[in-house]
Amino acid sequence: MSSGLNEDFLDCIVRLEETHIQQGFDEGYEEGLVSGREDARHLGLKLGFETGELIGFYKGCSALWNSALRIDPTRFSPQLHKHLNDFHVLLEKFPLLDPEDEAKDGIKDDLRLKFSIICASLSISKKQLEYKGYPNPSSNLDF
Amino acid sequence: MKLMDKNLGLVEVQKLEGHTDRVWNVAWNPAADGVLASCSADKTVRIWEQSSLTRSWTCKAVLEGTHTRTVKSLAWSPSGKLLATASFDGTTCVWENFATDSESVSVLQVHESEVKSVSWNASGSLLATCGRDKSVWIWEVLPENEFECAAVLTGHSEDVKMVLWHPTMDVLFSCSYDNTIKIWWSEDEYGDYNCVQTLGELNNGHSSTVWSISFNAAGDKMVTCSDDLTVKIWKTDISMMQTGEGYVPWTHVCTLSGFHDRTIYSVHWSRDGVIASGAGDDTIQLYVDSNSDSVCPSPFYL
Repeated sequence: MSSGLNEDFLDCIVRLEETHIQQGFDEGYEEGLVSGREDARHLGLKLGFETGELIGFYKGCSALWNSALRIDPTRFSPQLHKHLNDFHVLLEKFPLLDPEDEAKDGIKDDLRLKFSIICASLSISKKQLEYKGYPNPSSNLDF
Repeated sequence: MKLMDKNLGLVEVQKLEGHTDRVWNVAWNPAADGVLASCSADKTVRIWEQSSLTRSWTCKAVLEGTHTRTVKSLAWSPSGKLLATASFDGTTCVWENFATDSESVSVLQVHESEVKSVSWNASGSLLATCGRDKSVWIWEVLPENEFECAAVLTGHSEDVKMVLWHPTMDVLFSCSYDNTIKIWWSEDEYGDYNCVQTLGELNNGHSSTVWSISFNAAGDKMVTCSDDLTVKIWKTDISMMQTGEGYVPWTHVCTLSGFHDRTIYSVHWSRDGVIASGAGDDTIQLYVDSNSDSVCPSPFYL
């Protein structure tokens, strides 16, 4: 038993370096958490804003088109009705409150495509509607 | 085979000068004899006509001011009255009235990036475009030069190099940087196009970018060329397909290799059954079918 106590007593001298390393690590970890949280907050705000801006834009367009549709349903072709409906469904499906949802990007791509199709069907140029900062398609490394 | 006995040769008839940058594509007007259209990196399209008296070619019209970048490809409608042009500026223009004042009657701006190819179906009721954004768009041609989007096809995983409608049926073919050829078909007339077949490496397909597709006159065979230095021939049972009982798949017939040592960019099957291929090795090769195998009679150097 006493030999056990002796081992423990000597341990803090023998393991001095390890103790220092552990202390340094713990301090660094704490600081890292603080600055990491700050960076993450900024990034989260930025991405959240961009996503919100995009979905808000689409919802605004969808609302406008659907109200036009209610005023005069005959003005638009049946395919356009279907496209507008699909667009609306996709918007409802978008996981606005769950950023970890993996389906998010797929729905974003589908929305982008539907938006292009609707603009084409209405014979309006996408460029006229797009706001400054409208995201470019995901893959940019093409030749 | 008569073609094998004949001495096939290519003789230059005339050199048409006018474009100020590389010329990417040419198209013969299907309805008017001796009318040719060419498009170039100089952002213009030129219409050339052959004089019935002197048999020489002159430039009759220059279509400019609409495209802001290279015009990559062009196609005449089957009636010969409309000309569709595909440009790197992301737009597809449809032009008419060449005799008097060529006018751009429609501008289709949907692709996210460069438009690579454009094709009319046999009846001229549908127009297909494809581009670097990996998508293929099908448009319905309505009266008064209106175009309505009929379908957007997003199967390819890379840049789509060319689209071509089958010469008799409303089946669309596309080839891409993703090494495959995709076949799109709509079971009913409601325009729900789906990819019914993909010809890839597993089906004896190409192992690199497929640049071009062409059909024989009967529409039961097609030829494709690729960056993998080969030309491949495919076939289908066209009569079975025409009975309307469903889709009949295309199968590989043979691969022609060893004739080019650089990327083969263009291939075309003439109405008389001669296949011509043009490659980055500055040669044009002509092939004819000797019973079951295709043979190359003679190469032509530019």
